[in-house]
Amino acid sequence: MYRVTRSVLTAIAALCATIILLAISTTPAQADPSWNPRVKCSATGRDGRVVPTRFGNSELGWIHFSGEHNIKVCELVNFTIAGTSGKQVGNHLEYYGWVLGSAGFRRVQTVVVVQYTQRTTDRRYNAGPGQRIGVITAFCKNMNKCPNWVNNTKDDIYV
Amino acid sequence: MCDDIAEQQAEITRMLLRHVQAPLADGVVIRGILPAPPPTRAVRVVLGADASSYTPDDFVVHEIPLGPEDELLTPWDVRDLLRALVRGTHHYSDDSVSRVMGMTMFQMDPSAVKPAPPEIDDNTMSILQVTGHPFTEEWPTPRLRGFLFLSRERLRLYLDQTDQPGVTAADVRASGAVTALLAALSSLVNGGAQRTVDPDDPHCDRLVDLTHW
Repeated sequence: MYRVTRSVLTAIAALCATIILLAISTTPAQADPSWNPRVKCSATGRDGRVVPTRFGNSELGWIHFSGEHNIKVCELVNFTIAGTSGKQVGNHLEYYGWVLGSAGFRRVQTVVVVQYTQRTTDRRYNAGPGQRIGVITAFCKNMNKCPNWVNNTKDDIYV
Repeated sequence: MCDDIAEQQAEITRMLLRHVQAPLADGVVIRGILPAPPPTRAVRVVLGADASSYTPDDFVVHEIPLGPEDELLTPWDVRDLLRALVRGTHHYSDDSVSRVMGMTMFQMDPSAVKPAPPEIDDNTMSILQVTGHPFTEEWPTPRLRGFLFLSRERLRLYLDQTDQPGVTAADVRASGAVTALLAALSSLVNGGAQRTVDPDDPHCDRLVDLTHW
């Protein structure tokens, strides 16, 4: 009886060790999420900051906001950054701009959110030494998806 | 007073009057031209989505700087810039947007705008205008510096005259006795009617209410 119990305990211990090892080697939280840090757009703010927009992934950057929020032209992001001094809290920056259609009878306010540090605040993304994360997201205020016309760059003017 | 700017505001006003009814493009018409107060060297053009709009919520204002004295924008430059605004998609910075008289106003940088090309109808209108109403360097007294549709019944005229500084606003009623009003206008704005001040209107120094004439 004692021998059986001991062998069972040994087997359970071995199984637990295996599970722990497997868990350690496969838990996603321990690995950097897959993202593309390559720069898609780049803008210089009034304060001289050079702010990149990286391709990113579905959580941040160009891939995120071009699909989720329907902003599909660099000019829209770049102008919003270049056109105002923005709002700054530490290295978290927000820039605001406007896109006008039909002389302003259609208009939306654009918001660009920037993390101007090497890593995101949740430590999940790292742009590399000396690099900045840049644009986390961009969207049109009070709507989830921007209307298609904001991406019309034909005969654009910048004011 | 910047005399060159005042004269150009008056010139722009009289040459673009036809766009009160004729759309600049896509149905958009002019519902007002406001003489930007000094020292702002600009004209403010009020646009409506159609000729039946009368309330500030229905309007957008574009402030267009007129440039240096020797290169002032012409009425046609202003028209071509406005037409470009109507047709394209445009980006404005957050601090170029403000409010005036309950309307949203956008400040334009004309050097960054690609003007729309003149259209054949513009030339046609020039031919008719110059032959039917020949150009003269003489200005009427008082001189029309601008106007604004305040309601279907109330039209605000912005007027100036050489012997009186600043701008006098005169509210008139198109359904009133127009012939008598026009005949008496000079006298009325020159002290013949009670003057008040509209604190919400930065484009005039005094206001006379002639809607009961």
